[in-house]
Amino acid sequence: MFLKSLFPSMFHRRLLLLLGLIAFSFVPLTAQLGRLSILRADDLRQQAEKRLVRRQWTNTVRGSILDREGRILAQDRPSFDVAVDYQVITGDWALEKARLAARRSVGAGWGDLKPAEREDLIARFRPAYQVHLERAWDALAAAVNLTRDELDSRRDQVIQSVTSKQEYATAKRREKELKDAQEQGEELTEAALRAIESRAKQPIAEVKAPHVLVSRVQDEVGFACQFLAAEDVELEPPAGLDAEAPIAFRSERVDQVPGLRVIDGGDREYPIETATVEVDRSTFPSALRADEKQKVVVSGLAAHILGKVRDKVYGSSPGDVAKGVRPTIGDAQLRTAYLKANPPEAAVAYTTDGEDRGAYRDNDRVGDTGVEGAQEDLLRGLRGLQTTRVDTGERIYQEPARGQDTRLTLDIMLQARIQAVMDPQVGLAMVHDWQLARDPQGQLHPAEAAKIGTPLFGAAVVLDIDTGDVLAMVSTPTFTRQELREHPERVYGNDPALLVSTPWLNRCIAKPYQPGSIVKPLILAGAITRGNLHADQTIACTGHLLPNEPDKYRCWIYKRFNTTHTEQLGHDPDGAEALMGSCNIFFFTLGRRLGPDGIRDVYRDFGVGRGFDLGVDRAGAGPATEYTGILGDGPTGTNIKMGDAIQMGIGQGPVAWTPLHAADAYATLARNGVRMPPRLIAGRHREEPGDLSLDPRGIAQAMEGLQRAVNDDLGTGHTITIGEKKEPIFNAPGVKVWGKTGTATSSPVVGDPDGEGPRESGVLESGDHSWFVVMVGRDRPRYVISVVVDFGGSGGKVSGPIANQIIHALIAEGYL
Amino acid sequence: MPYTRADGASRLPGLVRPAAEALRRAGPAWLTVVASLLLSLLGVYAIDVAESVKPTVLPDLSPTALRQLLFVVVAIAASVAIALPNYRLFGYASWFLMAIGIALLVFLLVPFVPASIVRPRNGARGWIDLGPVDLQPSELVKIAYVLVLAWYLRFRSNYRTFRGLLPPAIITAIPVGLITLQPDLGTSMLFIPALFAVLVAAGAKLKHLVIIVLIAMMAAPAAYPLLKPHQKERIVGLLLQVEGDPRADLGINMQSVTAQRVVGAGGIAGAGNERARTLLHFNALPERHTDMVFAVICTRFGLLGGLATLGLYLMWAVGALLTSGLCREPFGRLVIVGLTGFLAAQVFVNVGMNVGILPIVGITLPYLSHGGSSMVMVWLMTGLVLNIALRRPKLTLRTSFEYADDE
Repeated sequence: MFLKSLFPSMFHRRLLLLLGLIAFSFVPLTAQLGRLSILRADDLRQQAEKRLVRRQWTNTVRGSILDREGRILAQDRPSFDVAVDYQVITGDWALEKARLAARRSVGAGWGDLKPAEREDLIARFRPAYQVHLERAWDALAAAVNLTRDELDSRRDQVIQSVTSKQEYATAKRREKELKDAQEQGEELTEAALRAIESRAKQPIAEVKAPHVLVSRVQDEVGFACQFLAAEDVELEPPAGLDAEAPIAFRSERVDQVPGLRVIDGGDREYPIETATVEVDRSTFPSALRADEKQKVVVSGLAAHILGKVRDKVYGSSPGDVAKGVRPTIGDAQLRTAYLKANPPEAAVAYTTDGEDRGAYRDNDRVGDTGVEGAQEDLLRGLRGLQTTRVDTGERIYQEPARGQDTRLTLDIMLQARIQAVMDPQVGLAMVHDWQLARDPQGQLHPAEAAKIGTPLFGAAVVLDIDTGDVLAMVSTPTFTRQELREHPERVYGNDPALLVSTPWLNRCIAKPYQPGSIVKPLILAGAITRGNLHADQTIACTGHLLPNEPDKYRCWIYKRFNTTHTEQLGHDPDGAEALMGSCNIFFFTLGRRLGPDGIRDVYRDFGVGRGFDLGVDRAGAGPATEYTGILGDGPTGTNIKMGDAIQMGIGQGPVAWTPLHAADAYATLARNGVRMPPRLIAGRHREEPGDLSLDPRGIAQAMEGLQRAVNDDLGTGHTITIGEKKEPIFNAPGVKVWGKTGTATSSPVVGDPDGEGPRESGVLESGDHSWFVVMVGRDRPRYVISVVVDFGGSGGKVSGPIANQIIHALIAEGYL
Repeated sequence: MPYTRADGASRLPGLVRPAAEALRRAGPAWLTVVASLLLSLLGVYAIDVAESVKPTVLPDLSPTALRQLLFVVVAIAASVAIALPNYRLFGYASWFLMAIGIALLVFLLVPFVPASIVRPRNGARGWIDLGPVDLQPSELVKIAYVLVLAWYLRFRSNYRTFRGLLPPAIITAIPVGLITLQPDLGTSMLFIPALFAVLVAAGAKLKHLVIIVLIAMMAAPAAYPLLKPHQKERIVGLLLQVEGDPRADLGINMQSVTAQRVVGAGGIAGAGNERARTLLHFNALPERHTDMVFAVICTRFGLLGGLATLGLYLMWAVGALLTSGLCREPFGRLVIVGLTGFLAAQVFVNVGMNVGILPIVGITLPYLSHGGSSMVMVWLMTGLVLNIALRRPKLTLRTSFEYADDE
């Protein structure tokens, strides 16, 4: 062999073999060394350097929400919380410091001491630190204006809470690990059990964190505590030290109050959640008129729209801790997606080592519902960061970045006035005997009579026609945030009254209503545009549509008074007259002429089946979710039969929309067929205005009809009857009014009247909803007011006076 | 030659000429001596890096580093002392030295010895407290063992048979058993590679040795239940680490994970003087002065530093094995091989620990780790190698460890 010739001596060959083995054994060492120093060097370097840097985050400053006049609707109210590290609260700080001091005093000999000796030594250093702590607590109590006892009892509360959390976490971890081990068939040896136990006992984050002892202190107290936190003093050596064997006691500076932190606390406040409105009753219907103004306190203003914030950040996807993947927080995922979609924001949000300054942590405030929730990404803001290098002591401070303010198109004072007039205690939104239908003998049905005095709830939307801005959006009843926090069952509960009133629901955009007669001007304009009717063409009102079936497709005037509009007018009505009298036969006929396709197109043109993307709800969740409307089976208008089409001519049958849809459709009409989707958030993106290309003659007919419906004696929206008298609904001076009444049938509210068990259920409330849509302006239509009152009965009896008061409110706020 | 006059007489007076001759003759042993010296000085510096967060200005050193320097000086002196007498004396005394070593080991284990004399460190009774200094009998036994083994095998050949391997095994088993009972499994484990190195060099049949290794590897899992709990924990911890499971990172694996982190942070050329110190301090690497000193070097000097250190150990081994190759006398040859076996095994285990491919055992790094007793012992090894190198007999004795039916 080659080797044998080179190394004739076997011994030398063996030596070579040994050398080879040694060198060979160094290969895996070198390989691993290379792996660490080359492949993983950057990652490990970063991890190692992380421990050189201490970071302290300050809270974000959330953007405010303003109304159109700049009034503040939601804002952060800053305040300070005074917190102390947990170790200091329990007093363990003294023990740890004593241990460190003892170690330092002995130096390299520490490892030679027995545990008992070590404990002994520590015990000798401990008193100095304990005394210091006592003085620190006294100083802190003085600074925050509490007695020492009060401060101590708060400390005990914190200790209790953290201890129980720790126990809970330990028990949970232990359980989980035992279960995992059993599932994997691992043997539970003593060693394994001990390992599980030690892992389960790992301290939870709260043990290392500061805890708030005094929250929401005033500024002076906050500043005083900040100064206290920055002070350090010389530690006094323990008394009686010389009596024992001399221990090297190095002098040391310690914080005056160790572990003291002043945290930016802060609250989200809603300054105009409650307002006092003076209601002028002099323009009310006669039965409710009064000369004195009534002071009404309205609360929960715009609650549905503004929404609220919550203190808990939810987890949405589990992490795999074994693989080092942490669970993501639901809102965090959304935030990541938002940053990805908005690179300029991301450039500011990420720190130099890739951490998001706006990332969510536990106990952050997160927008939950309404605009707070939907605009969370813009409102959130970025945290400030104080970075301290522990080796050099260098500090760098990065200021927090304020979130963007969101301005709404809402006028909160207008909103307040409208909510006041819709408040049942004012009387307009209440059942009165003059509203109720009487039988031919003039008697009330007993069930109806029982309802007198009960409150009525509903919705009102005010749109600016020229811009599409939503000036007011009131849904009654509402709720206050305090109520929601302290008595959620009063808002979300199951008792019968709540099933009817549904305070959590924003009726303006989230509740489906049948359009009823409100839709007639749109049908008229649409039919004329499509050529199903000539501009001046008349259609006879025959009382019932089908000649041989007097019980189907009846006109209301036939049903109630056994007459027809043709008789009433003396001639067949044209479009405007049919609108004025709200003739069903006319519009049944139009429905038939339009047919399923035509009817569907008309409705869709005017916005049914479309959402408005107002930015008030967070992608499909919650009670502010916009209802897009349906036609036939769904939003696109499928499966409409001829019978349906006829019904839909008068706004009944398989069709539903919201008060906002109604306002928007009328605004489109007033704009001569130009669609401009409504906006609630100023400056929010919006699709381009579209032109429906409506026939101007159709529009003219519709507008004339609307004008006459309210102003002409024969108009259904002209007067209300109280007792024997008829009085005009609208009495605002100097303004022109166009409008239409409507009745929407509804399904009854079914629930358990006793509120006791699921078995018995009965009808809690039933009846028709009362619609009124009005356009108002000094010379041309400037604003649309869309009012609906749940179970208000047929026609404009209930909603009319409310709409009238809204016109007065508009005048009072300077819009007219 | 400038030191010789024209007539062959020396220009150098007295003992100096034979001394100079001898020193030149030592040849490759100088590699070993230089390596030992460089490693020792590197160790002193590494301890300074590990101890002081603020970089010291040389020649100012941290207190522990200064102590280490003192140990080095004392150890070199001891090493010179052991290099003076003829090494064959140690051979004659080998059994006697071994007996003393065994006696001390037994003394350690005897239960009623007071703690003032045998103070347990980290739960192991491995040290005798002699007042100002501490003695670690297992280190002494290592050297005595190598001497005994080499002395036993020097003229035999029966170890070429399977049965002939038994006596060396018994000679090994006794100290291994006693040390394991301290308990110090790490140190006792090192005896096995040393034994194997000596057997390989002596010419035992490789077949036999391979079979024994295979049997041991297959039997190893059966020995797992016999391990103590914390030893099992460490093995489990290593497996978790290899799988990438971070569960034990804050617990049993903390030392290993921290070591890997700071080693990686060192990068290729090291983190620099200031940064390395702060990284080590604030990452709280445990046992910085002792078990983990290799990680300290890697943090300070990076991959290059680590490779240089391994290179120095390799240089030590090359020097020693070359010396052994040049030595024509069987006892000397085997002594060097045994010592090299111990050193190489210890370096392998400790460095493996530092880079995270082996579980943490309580093994220090020769020449680099802090410790007076081990520094003296390891320089004694250097001294023995030098001793053997200086005394190459001019006459060739009978050839040893040459077998026609080899490999």
